[in-house]
Amino acid sequence: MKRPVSIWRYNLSHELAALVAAALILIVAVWFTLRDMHKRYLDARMNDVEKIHIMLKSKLDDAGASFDAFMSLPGEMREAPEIKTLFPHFADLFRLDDTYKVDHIYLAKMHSKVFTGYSFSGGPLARLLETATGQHRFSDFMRGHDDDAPSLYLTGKMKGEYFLGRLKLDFIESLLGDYGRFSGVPAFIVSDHGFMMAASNPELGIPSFDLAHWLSMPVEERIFEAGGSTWVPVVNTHPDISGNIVVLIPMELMKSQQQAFFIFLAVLIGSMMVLVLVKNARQRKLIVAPITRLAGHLRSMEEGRSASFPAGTRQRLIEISDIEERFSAMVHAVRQREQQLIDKEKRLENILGGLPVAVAITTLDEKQPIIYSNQLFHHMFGYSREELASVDEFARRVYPDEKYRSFVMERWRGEVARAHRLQDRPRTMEFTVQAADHRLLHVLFSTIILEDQLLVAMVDLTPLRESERKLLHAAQREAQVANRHQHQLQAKLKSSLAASAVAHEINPPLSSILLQCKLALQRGADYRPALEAISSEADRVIKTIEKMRALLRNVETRHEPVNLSDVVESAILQVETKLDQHGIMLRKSGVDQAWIISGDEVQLLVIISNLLRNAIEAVSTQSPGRLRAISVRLEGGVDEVRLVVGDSGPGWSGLELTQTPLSSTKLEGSGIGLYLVRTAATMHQAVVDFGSSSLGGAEARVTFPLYNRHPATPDMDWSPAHAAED
Amino acid sequence: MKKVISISLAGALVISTIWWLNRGGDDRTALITVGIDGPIPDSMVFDPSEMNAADLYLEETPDTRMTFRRMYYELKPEVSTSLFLEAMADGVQFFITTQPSTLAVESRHLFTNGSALLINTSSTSPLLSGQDDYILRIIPDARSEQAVMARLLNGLSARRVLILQDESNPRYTDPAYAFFTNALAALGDHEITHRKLRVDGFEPEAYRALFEEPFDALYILAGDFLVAIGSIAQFFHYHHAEAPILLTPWARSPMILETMGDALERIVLPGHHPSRSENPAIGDYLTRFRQRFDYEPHSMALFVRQAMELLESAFAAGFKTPVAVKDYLLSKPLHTTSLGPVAFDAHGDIEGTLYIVHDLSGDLR
Repeated sequence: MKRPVSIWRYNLSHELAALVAAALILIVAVWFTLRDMHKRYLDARMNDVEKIHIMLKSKLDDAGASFDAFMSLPGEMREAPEIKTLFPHFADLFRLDDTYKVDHIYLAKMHSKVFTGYSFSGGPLARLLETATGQHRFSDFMRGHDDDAPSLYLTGKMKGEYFLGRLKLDFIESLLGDYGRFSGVPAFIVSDHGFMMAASNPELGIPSFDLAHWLSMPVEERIFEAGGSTWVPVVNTHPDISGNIVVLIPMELMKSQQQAFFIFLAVLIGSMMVLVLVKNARQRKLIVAPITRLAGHLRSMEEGRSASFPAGTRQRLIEISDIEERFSAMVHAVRQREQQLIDKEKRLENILGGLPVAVAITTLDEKQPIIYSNQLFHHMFGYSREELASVDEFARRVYPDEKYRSFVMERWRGEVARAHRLQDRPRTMEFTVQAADHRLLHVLFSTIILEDQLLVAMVDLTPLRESERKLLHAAQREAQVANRHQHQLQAKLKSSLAASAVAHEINPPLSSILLQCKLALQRGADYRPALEAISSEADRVIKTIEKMRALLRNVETRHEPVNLSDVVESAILQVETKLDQHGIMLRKSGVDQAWIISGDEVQLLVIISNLLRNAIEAVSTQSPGRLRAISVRLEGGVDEVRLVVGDSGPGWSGLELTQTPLSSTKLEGSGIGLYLVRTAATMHQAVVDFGSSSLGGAEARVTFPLYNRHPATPDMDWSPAHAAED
Repeated sequence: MKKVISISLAGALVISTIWWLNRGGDDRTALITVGIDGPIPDSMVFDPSEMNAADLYLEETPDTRMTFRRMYYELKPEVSTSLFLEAMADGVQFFITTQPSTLAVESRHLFTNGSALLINTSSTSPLLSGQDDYILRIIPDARSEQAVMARLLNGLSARRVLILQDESNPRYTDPAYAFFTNALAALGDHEITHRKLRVDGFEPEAYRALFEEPFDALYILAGDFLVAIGSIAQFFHYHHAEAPILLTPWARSPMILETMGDALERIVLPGHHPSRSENPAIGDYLTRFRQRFDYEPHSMALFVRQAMELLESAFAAGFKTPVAVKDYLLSKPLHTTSLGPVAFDAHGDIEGTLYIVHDLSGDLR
């Protein structure tokens, strides 16, 4: 993927690249155009050169015709003095012998070194003379044979005589000069050796010209410097003039054209460049800068820094302005939501911080940093946030034993992985950790997976576990005490029941004794001593009974909350066999509810047992076919509970209302049972009264005050096991 | 796109660095400008032998350390001196000159302080001999030259000798004439007829009477490759068909020889170099020259070529200042050039020798 680049740079670079490409295309186009123009220009100039050639050729033809005419003149006429005026273009006119020596001089230039007898047998002229005919023949432009001056010779042969003439080149220089003046193009005649023969502009100081170098087609790149200017040489070679016409085409026009084109190009490209830069600068200001500013604000928001966005700044571009407005609104909304989130976060932190459990939040990644922890967390373990920066750090500190640490972390991470995999909730785990002060704590770890985070709640169970331990210890001790008390109760009950049984056994004879004694006393005085003795004995028995009562009264009692229903059930259980023996039906009601009273369970059992036993005895006296039923009922008031025992027996005789012991409605009763009932009830602050049962017989009612005046509720079950089950 | 721009910029940077290092860091590869001159005679065709010799050297030695500044001088001392001054003002420190003695002597003061070095290929003036200056001369001076000429004339068995001395170049011909006559007197008894004239202004009729006098030999004491030497020789030969005509080495030019006519058979011409038929290296060079420029150069082209090769060897050895180049050239007893050895003495002069050109027709090929 390519490296990202800013809009401004991207745009500018592309536009500049496009501009450069366009400039290159323009330059190439201009270059080709210029080349074409220059080529046309050079072609036109070459045509001018052709004109020079034509004019020169015409002049030379005239000269050649004159030379031919001279050769054809009779000898005496050639020697006439007027010959100089007749052939003005000739500098020299010689007649040569067949060894090419001058045998007559018709015309010779001033200071000529040629004399009669002068030999032209050497050099190119000799070669030209060898081919001489009746028709003139031009030499090449060459250095003068005798004087080294620029020269053009003509040779001819007429009637066995050789003729040699040399043209004055001033007419050629005049021709070139005229051309140069009119056209502004210097022109030269150059020999085949490159020697300068005639020049239109001698002031240029061109002493020679390297034809081999410049003979190729003229192009503007091949320039020649002379006279402080640059030129494109054009060489025109024609065999019929035996020399080379060279013109120097000035570069100024081409240069000025080139300069004009390139100045235009430079201005155009520069203007376009400026336009591109200005446009990009404006674009940067109007588009890129707002976007950059917007991105900066977004970055600030992303990094959590304050993203203050100036609202109401007017932008030139509607779209940008709209974007900024929308962004400003979005920032406002985001701020509000952010504030809400912050508030919620604060609340959450407060909640987490205020929880009675330690809470820490970590991540699911490999490093597992602890990203949040409440105060209780650090208070619980005694380490700072820096010391518990990660789960590993936490484990290292609180599980100093490496083996145990591995065990714990393996279990915990395994459980988290399992729960994460199954999208389940990790199970609660309890581990023993070591706090910073080396205390050992029992901590319950509860983990919740929150997407990619883990929230771990830690509860210090150490006090609970300590309480449990103490409770267990206390329960064990209490069980021991209760066991011992049970034995004591059983012993007391046994004594009470034994005493009651004894009382029942001695009660009838004592009553008889008492009756006889009373009858004897009523009958006479003779029996008085004996009777007195019997009476005395009977009193002694009564005293004995009083002593037994005292004995019962002095039985050690211990009042404690007792469920009266349980005691009723126990009493029923004790008489169940008798009920069956006598075919008595028992009706219960109110015993399925707990009725807590404060009392001695043994004495309460004595009360209920006596009442039931009396009822059984009363019902058992009923003749067969009569209803044999006993009802036991517990019914409550606002702050009391009433035990009602009724039967289908003969009912009360009235003696039950007396407080005297040993008085009974039953023939064989001693009256001691009800007496015991009253005594025990008194000890329980209960009230005993008697009435008729709906079953047709007697009904005894014992009203007890309730313990705490309300029915007991079950204790809160706050056992470790319960907590552990979450 | 960015990558292309980066690579282009990096390439441009590398090329610029290389160019800068080559330009400024290693002077061994920097081009050294050498001034080279040639005469522009009035009303005559300019012979570009020297300049074309330079052209040929550049074409044949593309890796040369030299570039040439071309200077054209008229036969006026003040003009030729100003040419040197202008070139020196432009920073040119090395020159190869073809100026004749009359001009060269006037410019010698420009080459005394080591700011410029001149290799002289044409001036034999004794005024330049034995000087501790910065003019090196690769031709023998007039004394040596004329001693040879005297021996040559003496060997011709000519008693009556006509000596025509060119007065257009007196710095050469005056001492040369003196050296010649002294040497000739030492060799034998000769009847000498001495005439001074401007060779390029020779008019036969003006000298007809003189030339009709009986002479056994003609010595044309003239240089500068003046074509008129050929006409003089012809005119003398016209009157003394059997008399030998002695020319100086500075008449060794095809143009002159072509104008000799029948007199060519009587020409005695010494040269600074062997004839092309006797020296393949010179023959090969002249052939290459002709193939390139389509004409036969005068012998000055050979001296120019040798001078260029001498300077090139010094530049190649790392010497770039006039003092260093002079020291280098004088420190070696013998320098080898493609056209023959050059051996300077302590003053930058050479003894040298002259060769008789026996095959003059061959020299015209």
